[in-house]
Amino acid sequence: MTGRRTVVPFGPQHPVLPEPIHLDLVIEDEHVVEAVPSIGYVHRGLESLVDRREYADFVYLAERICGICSFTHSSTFCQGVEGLMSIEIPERANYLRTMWGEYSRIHSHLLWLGLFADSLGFESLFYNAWKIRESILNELEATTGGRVIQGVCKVGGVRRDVTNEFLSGMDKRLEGIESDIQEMVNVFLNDYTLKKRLVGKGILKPDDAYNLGAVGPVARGSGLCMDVRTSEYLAYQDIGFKPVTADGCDGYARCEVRCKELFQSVDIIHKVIAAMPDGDVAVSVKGNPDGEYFSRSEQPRGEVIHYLRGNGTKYLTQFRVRTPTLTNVPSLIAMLAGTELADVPQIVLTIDPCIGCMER
Amino acid sequence: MTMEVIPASPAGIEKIAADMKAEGRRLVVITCTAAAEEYDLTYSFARENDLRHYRMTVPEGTVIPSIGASYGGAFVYENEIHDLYGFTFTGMTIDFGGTFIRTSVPYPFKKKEIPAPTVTKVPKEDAS
Repeated sequence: MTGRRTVVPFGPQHPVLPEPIHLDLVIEDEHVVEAVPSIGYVHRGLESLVDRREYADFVYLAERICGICSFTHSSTFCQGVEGLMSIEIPERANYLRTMWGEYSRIHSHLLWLGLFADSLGFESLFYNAWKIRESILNELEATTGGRVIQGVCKVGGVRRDVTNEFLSGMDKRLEGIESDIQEMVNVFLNDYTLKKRLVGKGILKPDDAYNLGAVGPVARGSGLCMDVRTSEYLAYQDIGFKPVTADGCDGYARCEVRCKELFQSVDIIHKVIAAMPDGDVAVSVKGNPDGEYFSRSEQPRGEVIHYLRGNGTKYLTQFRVRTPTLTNVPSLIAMLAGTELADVPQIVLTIDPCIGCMER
Repeated sequence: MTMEVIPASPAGIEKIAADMKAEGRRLVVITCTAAAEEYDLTYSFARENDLRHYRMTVPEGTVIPSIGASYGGAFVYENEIHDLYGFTFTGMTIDFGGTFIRTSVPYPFKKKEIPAPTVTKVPKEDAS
């Protein structure tokens, strides 16, 4: 080490970043000594609109917090209002929400895998991942009417039912999709170049991950068995759930968790379809929310929190969202320290940053 | 889940955080919301799926000690609350000095001052 330090700005516009985040990288001999992030380029202040939109209409805004995990935001918000108003939604609605949530997870993970391959210049793998993702988006579109913003959740249940015949078709089609995923995952987990860029890069030890507040695949890639799906929400308790973890604590482990979660999600969807209860998909909602509620869900990137407070009127008084990317920022800073400058773009990507989601 | 909230104060928050860490809890989030006259700052900690919430209700401009000594990741919430609501935290592990979230107006979530009335009504006796 020469002791001569340089600050290299990384972002907010960068080829590997689909969304803007800025890092000041303090460099010494091509090694990162410190990374200082700053955000705010796409801060929209969506939460502050909550007292100007009726709670039933705010579902549409909650869904637009993020363009990737939009479904989870809408279901988490609805879950919060339903909790405030003690609304028991029909079992079939719970199962459908679980199914769409897992389809969203698959499309999000495939999106990330594609972007990651693209960041390395592995174009054919990028195309392959996104080709498979199209099949998932087609299923979402066929069942909800929307590819990215589904608009299917509402307070009291879901807007659309899916016929059992169509569900059987989805179940069968999923088998084909699973074999395509298997072929693609074999490359991600075994390719020499990919392993070279991931193994031993961006180390995050389990204690650091826990103390810095890591969630989702970032925490599970450091061996932490943390997943909101182990708690009692949606249909996860009915069908049984065990988090996927990996012990590598590096970029490869985080990639491995996401790859294995693809199969886990496929498995969950098979189980949900097999056990889909009959009946209504929504209940009528009367009254207004009063009190406060802490709604939690597991997004593709990890635990998301929606805090809601109502005062008995049709407008909520407070709404705050904590997204997984925000809480993974301290872990990102920890994993960048000591790495080589050339590895920074890939390490940043391994937390699967979703900036629009983080800034709301 | 419905929330059971334990009252806290700025003077005691560092000890609460140290106790939570000693219990093996992680920091889930620090939530700032506007209350009737003041602001609520809610600190949420979790061990597995067991959540515990501590809340301090403080007036605008209160200086709050950072819990960064116990939870290194707290700086994201503390800087965010500073940039959106204008609270100052002392002893943050990383202090961005107001540039963590670059907003077009300062402290956009801070309560707005009640605007002065545009028309002043004059009592009849004075008007004559």
